[in-house]
Amino acid sequence: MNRLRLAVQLIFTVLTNGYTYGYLHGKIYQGNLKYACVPGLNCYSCPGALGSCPLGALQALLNRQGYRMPFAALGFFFLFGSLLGRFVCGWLCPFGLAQDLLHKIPLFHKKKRLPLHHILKYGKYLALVIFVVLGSLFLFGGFAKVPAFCKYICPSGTLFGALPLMAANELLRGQAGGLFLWKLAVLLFILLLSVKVYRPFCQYLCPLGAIYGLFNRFSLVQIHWKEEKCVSCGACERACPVALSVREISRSPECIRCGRCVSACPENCLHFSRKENVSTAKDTVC
Amino acid sequence: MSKKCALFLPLLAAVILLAGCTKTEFSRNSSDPSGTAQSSGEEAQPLSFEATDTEGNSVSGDIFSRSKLTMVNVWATYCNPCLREMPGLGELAEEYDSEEFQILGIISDIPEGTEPKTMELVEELIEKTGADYPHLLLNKSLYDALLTDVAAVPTTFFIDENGTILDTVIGSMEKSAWEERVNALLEKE
Amino acid sequence: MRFWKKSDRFWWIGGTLTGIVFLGMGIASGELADIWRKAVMICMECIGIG
Repeated sequence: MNRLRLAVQLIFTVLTNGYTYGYLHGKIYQGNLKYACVPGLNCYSCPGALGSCPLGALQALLNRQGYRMPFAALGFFFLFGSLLGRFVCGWLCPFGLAQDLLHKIPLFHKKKRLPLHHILKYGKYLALVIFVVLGSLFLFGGFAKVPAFCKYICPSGTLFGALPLMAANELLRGQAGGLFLWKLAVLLFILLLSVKVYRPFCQYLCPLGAIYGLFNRFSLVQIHWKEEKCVSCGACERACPVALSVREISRSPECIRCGRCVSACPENCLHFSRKENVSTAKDTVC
Repeated sequence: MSKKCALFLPLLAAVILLAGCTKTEFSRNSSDPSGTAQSSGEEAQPLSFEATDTEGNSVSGDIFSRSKLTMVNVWATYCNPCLREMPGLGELAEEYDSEEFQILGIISDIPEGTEPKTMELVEELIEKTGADYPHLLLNKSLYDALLTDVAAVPTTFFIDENGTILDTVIGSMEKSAWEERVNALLEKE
Repeated sequence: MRFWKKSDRFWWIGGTLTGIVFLGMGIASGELADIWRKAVMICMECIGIG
């Protein structure tokens, strides 16, 4: 399961960020694929990006003059959320992939959560409300409104957008100032932290994860638990990288559907496919 | 499983690289090898286009012949760095004889035929920033002539009376920095 | 956490349909065009310049 997930993460990231010309010349893709959003946190200023970022799209719509409902962005959220929920986070987000890879580095004693997790986990809703929504609706950076989360926080934009662009485009490099240093600091802090703590951005800061998490309870993709077969061994809870309890698996807004619990269960109680759990009489082989 | 992936990946990579070559209505020809429009005199043919400005006047590539040096500033209504430098540009435009130096704005997110409500916003922005020079609305010929290589706003071109691009600047600058560039380019003429 | 209810399994349909309707409304009011226009120019503020 883990190898499959890594393969999907890599392939999807390459697939949605494959505009090689952009990397080589410090430009971005300007074609029609950008009418659509990819599901994960994928900056549309990334030189390789072939699609738009859903969070960036939301902020761009909120930045418009007047106060109108950003229907298109909401449409993408409802679509991806209702079908996948935070499966996006676990399998389709490039920045999630980056944190996963960093966490594999054999340094520091690994922790699943930060202290005060039960409070800090609401940080992502704070980021959503304050930066994404209120910031983009009301914050002016001059005569025009500002995509506040993109501008002041988003580490995915710094890592996949700013850094490759600066590397390839000399004209842009010369323009970097204090804001760039701030964003770099934010990025480095998060990257460093993810070596020790599992996916700190996803757990504590990502507004997109906050949105998709709201859909987790009702999304089509689920990890199903056959309660009758469970022997309460706790193997799933030990395997879970975000330390969920067996009842929280898949339904909690914290679950990113990585599937480690599925692999860990000795009784095959947990499956992505509902069919595996329908039959009660016979044991289905995974 | 991993063997299949090893075969699959290069195939996928090939597909993706081809995706970078899709051409669309207003998109760039991505197989263009030259990339930037920075080097001087690279454009063999003079820039020609037909466009309209915010007042409804027709503007064509002949506009370059009216001045020794034309500064074409590509901006967007959502772009704060652009709007921040425009007051300085407005002042700059006043300081020179229009036969020597003129400024032309291109509004990269406002196409021709935009609804009146949005045009009001555009007028408001131009007024607030004091950028009192012509601003062109986007259309295909203007895009093909000047914007195919523009990847960021603001991007500024310096063009001589023959329609040759002399210099390109990405990002906004202080008025004093612009003055330096303009003077340097005027001296070379 | 509440226990899983059988009725939960159909909410995703409503959500997906809502998503499609919202997307349709967005397309009709030109929002996708707004998104595209923002997405094809490097957002200088987003990459830390200006």
